Amino acid sequence: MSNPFALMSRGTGQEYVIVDPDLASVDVHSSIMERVQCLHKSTQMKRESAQEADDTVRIADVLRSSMREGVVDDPYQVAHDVLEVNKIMPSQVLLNSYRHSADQQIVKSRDQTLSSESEEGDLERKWEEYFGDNTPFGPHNAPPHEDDIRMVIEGVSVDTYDAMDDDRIVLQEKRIVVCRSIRDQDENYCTEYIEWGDSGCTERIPSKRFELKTILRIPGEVLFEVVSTNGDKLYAALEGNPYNQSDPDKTVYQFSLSPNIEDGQQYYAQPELYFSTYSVVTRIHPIGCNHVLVGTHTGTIELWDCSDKSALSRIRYLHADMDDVNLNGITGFLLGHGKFQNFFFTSQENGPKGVITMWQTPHQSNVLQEADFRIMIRIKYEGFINFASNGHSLMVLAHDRFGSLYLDVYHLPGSRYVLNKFDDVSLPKGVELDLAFIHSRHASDFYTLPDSGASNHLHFANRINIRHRVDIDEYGMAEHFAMDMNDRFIVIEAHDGLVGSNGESKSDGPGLIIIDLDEHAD
Amino acid sequence: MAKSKRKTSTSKSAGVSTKKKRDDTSCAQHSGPGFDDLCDNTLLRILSYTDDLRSLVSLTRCTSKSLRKRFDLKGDKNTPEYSKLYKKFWQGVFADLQMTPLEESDSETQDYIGAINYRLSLFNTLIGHEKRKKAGTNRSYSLPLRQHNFKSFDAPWEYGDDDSDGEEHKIQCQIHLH
Repeated sequence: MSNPFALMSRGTGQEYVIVDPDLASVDVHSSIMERVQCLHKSTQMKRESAQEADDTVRIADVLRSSMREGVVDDPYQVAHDVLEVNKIMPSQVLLNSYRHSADQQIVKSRDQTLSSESEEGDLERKWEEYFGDNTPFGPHNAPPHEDDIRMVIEGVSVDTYDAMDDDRIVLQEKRIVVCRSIRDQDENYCTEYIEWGDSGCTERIPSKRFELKTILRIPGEVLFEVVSTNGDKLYAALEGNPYNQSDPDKTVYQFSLSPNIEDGQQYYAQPELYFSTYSVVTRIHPIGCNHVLVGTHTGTIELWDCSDKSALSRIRYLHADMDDVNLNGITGFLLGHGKFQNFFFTSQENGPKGVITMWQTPHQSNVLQEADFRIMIRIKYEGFINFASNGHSLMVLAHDRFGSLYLDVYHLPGSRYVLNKFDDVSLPKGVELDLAFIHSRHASDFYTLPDSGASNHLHFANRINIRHRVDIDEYGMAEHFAMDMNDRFIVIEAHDGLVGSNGESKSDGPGLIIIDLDEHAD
Repeated sequence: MAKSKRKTSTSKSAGVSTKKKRDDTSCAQHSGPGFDDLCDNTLLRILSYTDDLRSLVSLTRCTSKSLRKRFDLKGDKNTPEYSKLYKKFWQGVFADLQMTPLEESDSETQDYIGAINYRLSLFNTLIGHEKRKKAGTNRSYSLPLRQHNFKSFDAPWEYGDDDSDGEEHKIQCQIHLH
């Protein structure tokens, strides 16, 4: 959960949630295209002149109405006020400060000093909530050292889950926003998850308001976590050993995210269950309602059934062949969307090199116990950064040896309909698509679905130049970039502003690169 | 897309020859039952065997006026079964295409065909389908510059050091209480 932003919609919506580290807030905004700078000069000039004209009309309106009322205002002050109102404002502030409390009463900006007695009392109460005598860190002999308390908001995630009818048509989509923050004092760490949920977006009637649902506190640092597909559980691998397990590196914990907002509650929870894998855990991902995929540092994948708390079972043990490339453990999971999740992707890395593996079952099935996942395709990259999906396409963010960023698009299997004849697009340099697994072992089982002409495996579709350049270190590696996408937008984090292909910065400061696929948006 | 579909279907009629189409029409008018005479359930059953979206659009929109009306959103509002069939059918196609529910940004009406059209056009833009088809090549095509945007953050963001795995960057806000 290290993404500083996330798109709210999996469709074509513009809404997004973003962490503001300056105010330690989590804000929902209605349009990601608000106040963006277009890279195409004349389009940007058009946008600017339209904005200026809009502002001028608004200022003139305000001046006219004040003159009508007989009040003479300073026109410069009016212009300033109008433009100030026109600044980007969030549509909803989910978290307003590091000093939030469960009942969402807050709040002070960090510039303010503690002045009144009540504020100091409030501070004491907050410290007690996180690190006090009644928490896993207590009892304390010494009084609290408030100066040492520090907070880091690590990121947000948005998960959507669907309510379907009997024909498995999505009727309603519910969204949850989860924010992870860490508070520490001396050597004590508290990882806090705050979950907000909406009431559900039915067709064409999106829900705009999010309500606080759950707070979960874990007395330690969390290495990896993931929210279950229906949003009521959190699976995590922890740093250290707060729950005194015999093999903490190999243990995955499940916590409940059921609504628990009550006055005076501590929100520290014991795990509902835990299980131990064969090797050290490197990544977790939910699949189905009560199943979880666990990747390990030896490149193995374990599929666990957590539906029966008293009898957890490891139902699959998969091993990625690593004889050709000296790869590290599993670093990422990506699942197919839609009615049937009969495939998933894993990533493994070794320096700048990365391998994406597609695991697929021969027959579409909703019963994971019967799923026979096998390696179908492997894609090898010379400069791999990250991957994402919008349900129809797999996107791989890659770089060349000069640091230029590219986005590779692949068709995902799964749609029942034949949309286009799949073009035989030539693979770019530095990318290798290994179909040997399909051709050698399981050709008769896989290639086509019995009742469909639609393709059932992955196709390379296009490479897009992002027109942004990143620094490459001496090992040939680039930084990690967060990315998110839906049917219309592709959003990529730009740490150093926008850097052109000649290495010159076009725009200073961090921000987001946004690709709008709607050609006629302007 | 609807327009282009219509154009395509009049010339090719979803892979069926013009002569054949004329025969079907005359058949529907004079002798045995045609598509128009089928009940909703049977019609939906037949259409469920089609896995080509282009043919599906052609069949429902261009076979005959009455058939088109049965699947049309802008049918007579006093006969709700038309819109029911429309919704039942196109909503199913929409779901089979693995598209997420309609949103405000898709279109002004609850028009599934419009939304499918819009989302497929976005998808075709992404994969450069039209450009490749026009040029007759098999190379990749980037998006034009006007589709690239940059949004700078209002707040100053700090990026912390890499964590132990060297793969994640944290956005840090270190706030001391005094």
